[in-house]
Amino acid sequence: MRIGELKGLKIERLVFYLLICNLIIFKSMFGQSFFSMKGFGEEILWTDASASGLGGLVSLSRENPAFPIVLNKTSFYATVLTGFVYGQQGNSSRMIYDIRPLDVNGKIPLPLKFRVGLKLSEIFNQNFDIYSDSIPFSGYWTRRHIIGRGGIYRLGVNVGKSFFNEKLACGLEYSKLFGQGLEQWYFEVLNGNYITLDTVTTSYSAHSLRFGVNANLPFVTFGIITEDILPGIINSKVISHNIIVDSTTDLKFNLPYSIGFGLGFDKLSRTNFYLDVLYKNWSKTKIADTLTSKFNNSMKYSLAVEHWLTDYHPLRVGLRYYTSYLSDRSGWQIKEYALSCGSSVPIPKFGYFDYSLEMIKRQGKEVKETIARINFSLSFEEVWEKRTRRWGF
Amino acid sequence: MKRYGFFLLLVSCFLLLTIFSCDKTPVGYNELERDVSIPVFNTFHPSSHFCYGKYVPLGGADYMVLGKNGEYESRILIQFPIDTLTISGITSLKLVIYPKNYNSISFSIYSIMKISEWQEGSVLWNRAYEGQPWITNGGDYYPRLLANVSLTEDSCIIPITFNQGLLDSLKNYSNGIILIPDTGNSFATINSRSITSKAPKIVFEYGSTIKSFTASYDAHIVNTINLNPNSYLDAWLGAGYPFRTMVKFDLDTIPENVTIAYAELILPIQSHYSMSDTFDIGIWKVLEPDFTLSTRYADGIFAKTQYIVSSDTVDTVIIFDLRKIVQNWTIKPDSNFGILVSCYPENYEISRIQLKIGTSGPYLKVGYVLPPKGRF
Repeated sequence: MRIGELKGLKIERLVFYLLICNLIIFKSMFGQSFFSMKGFGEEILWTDASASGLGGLVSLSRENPAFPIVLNKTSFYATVLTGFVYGQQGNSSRMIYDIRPLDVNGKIPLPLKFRVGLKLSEIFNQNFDIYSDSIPFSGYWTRRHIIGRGGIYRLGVNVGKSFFNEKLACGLEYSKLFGQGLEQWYFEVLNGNYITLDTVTTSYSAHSLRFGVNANLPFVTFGIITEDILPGIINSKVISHNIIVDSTTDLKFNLPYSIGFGLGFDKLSRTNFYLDVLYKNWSKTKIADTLTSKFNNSMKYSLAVEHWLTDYHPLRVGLRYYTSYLSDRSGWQIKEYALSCGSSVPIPKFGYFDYSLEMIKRQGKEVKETIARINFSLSFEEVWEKRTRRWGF
Repeated sequence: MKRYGFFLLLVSCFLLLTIFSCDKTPVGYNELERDVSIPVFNTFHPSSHFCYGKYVPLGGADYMVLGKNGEYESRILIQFPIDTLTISGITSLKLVIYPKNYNSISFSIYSIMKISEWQEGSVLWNRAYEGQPWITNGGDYYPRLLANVSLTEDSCIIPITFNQGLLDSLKNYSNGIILIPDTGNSFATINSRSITSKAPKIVFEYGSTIKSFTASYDAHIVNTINLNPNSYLDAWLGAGYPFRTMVKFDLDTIPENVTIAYAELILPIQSHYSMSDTFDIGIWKVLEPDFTLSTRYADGIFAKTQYIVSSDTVDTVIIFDLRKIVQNWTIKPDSNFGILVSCYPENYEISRIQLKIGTSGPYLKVGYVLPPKGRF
């Protein structure tokens, strides 16, 4: 079956037109966040396109080491994020963009309903690109231009097991968290030639444990996920005129634990409903063994509907409300409202292709972002099947 | 084609939006949460300066200067390898020199005394070579005039009246010849042996046979007349007879670890003299704390700039970009012994600049930014 012949192409068109409308109306561009230079950066709570299309599910997505409850085939999953951000502050506005890989993971079924998996994904994004106002400097107009690149990533290995005739699955994931941030602080004249360049490098190292449960009950599916991040360290250097002028070594940090809960009403018909909540107690974050008052407890609520148009083509729509752990400079907690949609296209003898579009309104008191984020996930599923021998031939 | 329409449109949108993304407004800048320093400017006047003039060897110059005025006199010394010369049968003797600038200059030629052996690399107005002064400053020569000519052409062929005694003296009892300007108020430049095709030559004719010798050594020596800058009250730069000025700025008020964004040394001009329309001025790093005639400075030139000689010196300044050296001084304040300013190269023709001093004199304008803070 060729992709072009699928009825599901209509969904593809729908998503496409939504994207175009969004781009025209909101003039959105590829996007990092204008808040990424704060704290640990922009928090990435989920990664795959199907979870993204459902408003950002966490407990009922691949983020949960117990997901899925039934795993018969080896599967691999890779996601690329394309983001467009249109930022507004006062009378100024600006568009920025970003394309980057977000996640690679795989799970392999083992005997006795065990499974083992590997995961490499981004958990904080520190990409940003900001300009200051013009500064008069010795007869020239100059400005500060600060570019940040990097993030914090998770390299995790997880094990899980299904119980009770594949009605319940539990999983445990150990992750090494590592990261590197590179900031380049240009002091430049307006034609782009820089006068000075200072560099700030920051590296992160920590470990985390995640535990998840997925259960398939008569009327609902539910998932629980909790994560505890073990103390980690930050090393930082400020390099000016090719000399390290400031450095921090082995600065301890403790990221908060998180707990999430999800419910899926997926036994009704071709239409499923999902509810997902995630909480992180960021106010307990410690840096250098001291509680920091910079961060707020964060909360994410997702509500989603998935309707299967055919056996192969779902249409996903979700809503999300998220209060970030970050505040803007006036102390206003950054909030995020999102409408998402997405779908999936099967790829014969390979797997399937998920894609989603999120339209996000993220705002502080002064800076407001309108974000169009497109996730593409490619899934490979093992095509091997057990063959039955036919005697006599 | 229809099948790829989606992707083509998507790519088009990306390109379109990328163009829109070129704006550079300050959205989000004040959310940085980290103190960002604004550039800070300081102006520094010299804490001390020292000026002196000095003879320097001019033997390696491409062009030799011949002439004199009320302030300078420059003579040329040339040695030819004529040890193997056969004196008998010579029918004529000519000196060939190639002027670069052929101002009308009258000059005399004498042979240099045998006892006054001179060295191209170290000969000065007051010495034949290192440690060996001339008997008379300006070169020791026999009083017998070999020729008296005026330099007027592109190449100058100077016939020399000779006899057997003079030829014998040139070959066996002299150390080359010296060209001494007689009168006039201008200078000419002559190609030295460094310009191989236009090196000075001496030509002997034996009837129809010609034998010529290219200069084996040549140099010019320069002296000043009535130019005596005060070491502490004047600030001069010069070439030919170099004047050098050492200047030190105390930069203690610049904070540690800053990045120097701007550092310009500004040298306001009081007056100038030059043979050319332009010449270069250089900066060297001083290596010792006290300014004296023998204070050491770095071999390598740190910066140079071209000075264009104009008729009006009012508001004329020489500007140097000293960002790197000032940055270095902020990192290693103990190495700030100042800078030496002079013409570059010092053996290029004759020129001089008198700088203004005091409050309207040299100053260093420095702009810096503080280093950024880390995320945590």
